[in-house]
Amino acid sequence: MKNEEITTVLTTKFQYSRDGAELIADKIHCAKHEIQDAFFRFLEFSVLPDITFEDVHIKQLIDEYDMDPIAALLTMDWITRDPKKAKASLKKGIDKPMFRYSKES
Amino acid sequence: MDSNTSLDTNENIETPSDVPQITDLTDSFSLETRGQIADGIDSLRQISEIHPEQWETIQDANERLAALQNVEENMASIQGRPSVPVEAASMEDNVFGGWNGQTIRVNYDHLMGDQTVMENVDTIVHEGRHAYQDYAIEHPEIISDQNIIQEWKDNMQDYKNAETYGLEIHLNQPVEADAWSYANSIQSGLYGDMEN
Repeated sequence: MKNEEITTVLTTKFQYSRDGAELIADKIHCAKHEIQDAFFRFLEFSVLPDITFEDVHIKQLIDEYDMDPIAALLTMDWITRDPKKAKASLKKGIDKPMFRYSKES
Repeated sequence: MDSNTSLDTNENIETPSDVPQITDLTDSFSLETRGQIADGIDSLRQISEIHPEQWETIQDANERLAALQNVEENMASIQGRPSVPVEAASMEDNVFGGWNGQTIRVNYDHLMGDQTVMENVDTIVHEGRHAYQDYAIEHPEIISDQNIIQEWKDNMQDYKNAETYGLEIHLNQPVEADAWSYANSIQSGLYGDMEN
């Protein structure tokens, strides 16, 4: 599936912004084969495979980090490419800013 | 200006290799940022309550919050913006804090539990940087490069949370990459490469 097709599916079916969908398409384009397969299977069948990399199971990302399936797959992709940094970032956690500018605009 | 001595050791501390480095010294925004970081390290070093040994003796949540409020007051002054209240709140385990447009919030369990003072200070500086980003949109004259303002505006309008975009895209977006780099640089300068 070409990047443009992925972008279209992400914006129409999953309501990603255009900019965000293009970012995701680029990531998937460069991902390991196993991640790509899982992504396309999810797009078509809404089924997520049971995958583990570097002792991180995809279900953990969904259950403990509240990630949507696509977000979880993208994070697994990052773990395959840079496990040290990805796992350190998972351990550190995230913040949730709500900017005044985005509220007022 | 001595920004290279940590709070704990007299050894020369190398900046962790994975902290983004400001390398283009001709870039005015980078120069401004580097100056704030150096001033921040020097200023925060004077707050005795955030030295690890002293922090461990403070068991009262309000006293710890007061120390973190002091961090925010110092950073706000350096950044040229009004300071904002710092409060503790109940949050999910994987959330370390937040900026809600009016206050900086830190995870209560991190404040009183298993997170070190380094991590708590990092949270305040990180969220304070988001407050600065918000303030800069309203007062663009405080930043020399207006392209940065536009980049932040565009990002705030299309903020990419980790739950929807995964951790990597979330961390690499402009407002988060800026806040992470900034806070990491100050944390490294203050605490060196102590283990968390």
